[in-house]
Formats: sequence, structure tokens, C-alpha cells
Amino acid sequence: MVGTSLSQQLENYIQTMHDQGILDYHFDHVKALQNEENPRFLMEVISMFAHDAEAGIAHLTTLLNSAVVDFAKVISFVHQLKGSSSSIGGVRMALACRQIRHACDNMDKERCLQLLERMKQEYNSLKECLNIIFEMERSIVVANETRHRQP
Amino acid sequence: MASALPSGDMGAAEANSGNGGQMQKKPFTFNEIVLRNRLTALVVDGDNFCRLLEQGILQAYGLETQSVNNGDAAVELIASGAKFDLILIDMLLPILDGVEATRRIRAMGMRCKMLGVTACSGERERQAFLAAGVDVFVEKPLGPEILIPVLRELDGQV
Repeated sequence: MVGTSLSQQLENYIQTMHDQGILDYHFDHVKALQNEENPRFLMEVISMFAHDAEAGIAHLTTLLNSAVVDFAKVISFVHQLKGSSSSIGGVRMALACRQIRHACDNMDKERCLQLLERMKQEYNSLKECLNIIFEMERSIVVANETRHRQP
Repeated sequence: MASALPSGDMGAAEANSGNGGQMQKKPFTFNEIVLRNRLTALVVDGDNFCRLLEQGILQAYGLETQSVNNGDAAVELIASGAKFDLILIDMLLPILDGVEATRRIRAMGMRCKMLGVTACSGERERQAFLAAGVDVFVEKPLGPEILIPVLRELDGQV
């Protein structure tokens, strides 16, 4: 059956992301929240994460490129990104956020800027992974909806 | 680089066979605990995404949940007479931070289980949150290894 095959492909891909250290087991918890009442939950969560993360990264970029850095505000956005990335299983991105926090504690603007670039790279890797999962999930949802409509 | 695969042995080799080399991992479920009683929880988190996930996880375990997005709203809710078995509260919150919100909630006589669930990880922050009155300091994300023992205790299963 097409749906089953797609689901197995998705499981295999997620396992590969675990093996590469891009996702940890918290992603499995998020995925497990999806049910028949809300079959698009994972897609919604991924969209929400990406939207909020990109807004947070944009704020961080502006703050850290200011002449005088407001480190308290930087810390606030870094914490938000750390919390959301770790909650979706983006362990490497969360680690990069932790490193930025330490640089903020030392009020080291240059180090913060270096680590911001690293965090953006980790976000891009995570986003690419989540986009693939999103598309696979969408295919599964469409396949299931098509099957349910058939007499 | 993190690896989810165990070190090689006969069991793993057998598990790998017939599946293109992929380990058959048991999917995660929320069935590890089945609540016998009605439990209620309040989630206090300023981040929409984290609030959504934490509420979702608690609901998946069978709790009835409410949520607010700042410390002042949490204090107001408790002051209005709302009672909860469990409160998850973040440290960095808009309007009123989690430490002060926790202090005020405890000052009102609320003795429920409070978990400080935060992206903060420093020892000073941990001590401050515990001193304010949270029972457990948890670095986000809140995982089943911490949550399930808490739920068993609240549900009288221990």
C-alpha cells in the first residue's frame, strides 16, 4: 500500500537524521503527538517552528550588529531559540544557542557574531531536514485522504 | 556525532536483516503511564511553540490543561481560585518573570507540584528558581524520564 511505504520511508529518514545527530529523540515525542483527530499536527508544528525561528534569528542578527549590543535582549531571543530548537529535537542548533548564551555572559560581541553564523548553519541543516519530513508527511496525508475517499 | 544505533552484536544484526539495514526501532508512545485520576495542569510559557508542545504532551498523558503566556496571568489565575495538580512554568516570561511568579504563587498557599521548565541552564538560575519555590528545575525540553515519575506520584501510583 502506498501509504505504508511512505510511512516506512519517513521512519527511515528520521532514523538517519538521528544517526547524523541532527535530530534527537525529542522529535519522536513531537511526532507521537499527531493523531487521527489532527493528522496535520506535525506539519503545523514544523511550520510554526520555522516561522518563529526565522523571526528570532532575524532579531538576533539586528541586535548583534548594533553599535551597542543589548545583551539582555540577545539572551532573551537566544533562550527562545534554544527552547524551541531543543523541544523539536534540534540538538545541534540548541547547543549553538547555548554557546551564544555563554558569549553573552562574557559580553563578547565578536564571539557572539561568530557563533550566530554557526547557529544559522545548524538552523539551515535542521530546516532542510524538517522540510523533507514536512513534504513526506504531506504525501502521507494526501495518500490517506485519497484512500478514505475511495468507495 | 550522536548515533542512535547500538554497538554491533548478533541481536542487532538480526534486527537489521530484511529491512535495508535499518534498525526496527519501537515507536515512542504516551502509553507508558495510564492515569487513574483526573489531573489538571497549568502551562506558563511565553513562547507559543513551547507552550503548544508542553500542553500537547500533558494532554497526551491524559491531563486536563490550561495555559497562559506570562507570569502575571499565571498569578492572576491562581488568585482567582483556580487549582491545579501540576504547574509547568518557564523562567523568562513577559510582564512578570517565572521566578517572581513562582514566589507569589507559593505565597498564596499553592502547594501543588511546580516544575520550572526553562532553556536556562546555569547553576545560579537553578538555585534562584528552586529558592522561589519550584520543586524541580528542568532544562527544556521536558522529557518523559522526568515527567512520568512526577505523574505517577501525583496520581498516587507510587
